[in-house]
Amino acid sequence: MSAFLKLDPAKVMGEVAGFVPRIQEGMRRMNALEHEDVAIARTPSEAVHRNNKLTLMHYTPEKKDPLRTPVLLVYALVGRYSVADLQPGRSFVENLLRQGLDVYAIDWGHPTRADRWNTLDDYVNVFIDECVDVLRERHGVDAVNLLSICQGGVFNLCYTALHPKKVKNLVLTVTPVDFHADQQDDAAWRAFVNVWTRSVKRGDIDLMVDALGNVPGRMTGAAFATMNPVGTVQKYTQGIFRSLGDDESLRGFLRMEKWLYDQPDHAGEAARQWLKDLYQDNKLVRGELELGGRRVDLGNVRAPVLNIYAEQDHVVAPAAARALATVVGTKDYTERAVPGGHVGVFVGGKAQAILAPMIGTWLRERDD
Amino acid sequence: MDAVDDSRKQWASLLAGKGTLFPMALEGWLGLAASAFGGSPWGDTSPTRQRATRSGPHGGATESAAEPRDAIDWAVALNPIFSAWTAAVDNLQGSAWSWLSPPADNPLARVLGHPAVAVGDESSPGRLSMHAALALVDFVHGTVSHQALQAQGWTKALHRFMGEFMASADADAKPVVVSSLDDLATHWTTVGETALQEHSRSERFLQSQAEVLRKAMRFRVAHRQVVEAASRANDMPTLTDLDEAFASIHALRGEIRGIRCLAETAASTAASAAAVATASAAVSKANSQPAGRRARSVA
Repeated sequence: MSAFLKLDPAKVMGEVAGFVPRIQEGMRRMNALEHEDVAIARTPSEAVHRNNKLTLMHYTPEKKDPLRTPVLLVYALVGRYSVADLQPGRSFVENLLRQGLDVYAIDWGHPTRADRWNTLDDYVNVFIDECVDVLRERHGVDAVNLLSICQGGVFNLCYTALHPKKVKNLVLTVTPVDFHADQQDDAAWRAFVNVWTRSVKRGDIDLMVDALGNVPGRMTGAAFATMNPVGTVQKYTQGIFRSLGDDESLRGFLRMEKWLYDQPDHAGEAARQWLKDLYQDNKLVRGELELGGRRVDLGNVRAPVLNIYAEQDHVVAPAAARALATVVGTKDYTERAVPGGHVGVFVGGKAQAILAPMIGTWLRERDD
Repeated sequence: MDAVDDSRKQWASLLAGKGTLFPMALEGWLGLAASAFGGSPWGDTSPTRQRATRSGPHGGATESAAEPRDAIDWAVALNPIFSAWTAAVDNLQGSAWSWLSPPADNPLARVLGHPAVAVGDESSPGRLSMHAALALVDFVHGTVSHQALQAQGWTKALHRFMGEFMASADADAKPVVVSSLDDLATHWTTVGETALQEHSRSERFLQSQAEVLRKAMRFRVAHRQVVEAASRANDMPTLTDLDEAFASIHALRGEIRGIRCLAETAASTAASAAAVATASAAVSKANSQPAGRRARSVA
């Protein structure tokens, strides 16, 4: 690539002259902000079940007669579920409700030192199973729809493989299945977590978990920020400067930051298994992953599967998500690409118009 | 040491050869700005113009066609600066401060590690404190090395960004037109990001990063051991005690779930067996009645 510097003097002087007024205007907008203006996760919901730090929330359906089979949204342990409900008008959850779905979501909460011994088996076979049973009882159904985001998708895949009778349909979004598939794609901007974990010795991961207990949220947040080092710095210069000129842009920027810095710790034993068994040994796609002494065989996933991946995903390479096609047991397998990045598919304007309608239509076709 | 000497020579030649560094850098930036705005910052006072006006066939000032200004190869001009800088930070990793060098070569570490320095067993507060101090020195060494490597990455990014505006060797390249400061910042993000991401994927960077993590965790463990020794000395519970308690609670919860599951299964089985037994008994009773009574009971 090369660049040609052809600065228009009038344009540059305009930018320079507009700098101070923009800052002043931005300060005025900032001063006028209240906490309510940047609140996130505002879609009405009620807590219907709790277990320790976990809260199962039920969103108030928008349609009088929503789809019969309820949908359980399972997010990852990294970051919080609230990204799916960032702000009115840009809320994945809101859009799902608009599709006539009856949506529940698991809020994993903020693990403390007491939770460091929670394993992936606990998350899949205890917590998710408990929530599924609550839905089954409340709605009088034998099986529920599972909707997943990223690591939540891995949990739901394992759950479906181990409890096939309780899952009617499975929807995965930006979910890694083959944790070594990034090696087929040499793009430097993709899948740095995969590269990093493969460069670290197994003993180092054990040392980290033994020393820290839980993997701190600030640590995972910093790791994600360093995937785009220049962009992270530019965000607090160019990015925020751009947003200062408009109330809604500024609020959107601050809401996103609010979510980004709400980073729960990751339970230590679950992190140990996640990094070693999945990122390093790639056991899921190989059929070698064991949870609670039971082997997870993706061939047992016979429920219909909708696998959605993001075209510009810098965390989960598309190949890592698409690898599911070769190992899943279902005959009803659908794969779809959505424009956007790993988070952008849930908060970006373009994806908002595509993602929820795609899921709603797909589930409605399979809700008999 | 050779690399250090080379970088010193490069700095020396820069300082001595073309006047001082500052005017050269200033000229470089001004020249870049001038080319961007389509003119020369020197106007009619450019050396080329001056030479043209001074030298005439009769010694007087004369008009003559302006000779083409000597083309400045900016990539060549700026390269020594960047090379010297990357070499300097390169050497920071291996040379400089001997008191931050690895424990095997470290006189401080040798002193602290000597058995005569602290008496008592391995778990004595003195010995634990020594280990923590050594772990801290090791950690700081790793951090300084890694920071130098990160600085190198940013330098490479800046170098690549500057190179974007030099003449392209590829005649067919379609350059990105940067027409505003906002565009300039955006282009920096694009170019700089790629350079840094490539740098952070290099084997050297990954190993350095892994080493920092390892040393940080070792220090954390060593520090905790010191704190826990002090806690025990004062009859206070430690984090290790808490972790053991939580582990027991976690295991007990698992056992309770297992027992509950067995009980539910047993209850379910018993209920099914009871239902089957009741049904069988009813059938047996019905079959044992005489035919006439059976007919009347059915009616």
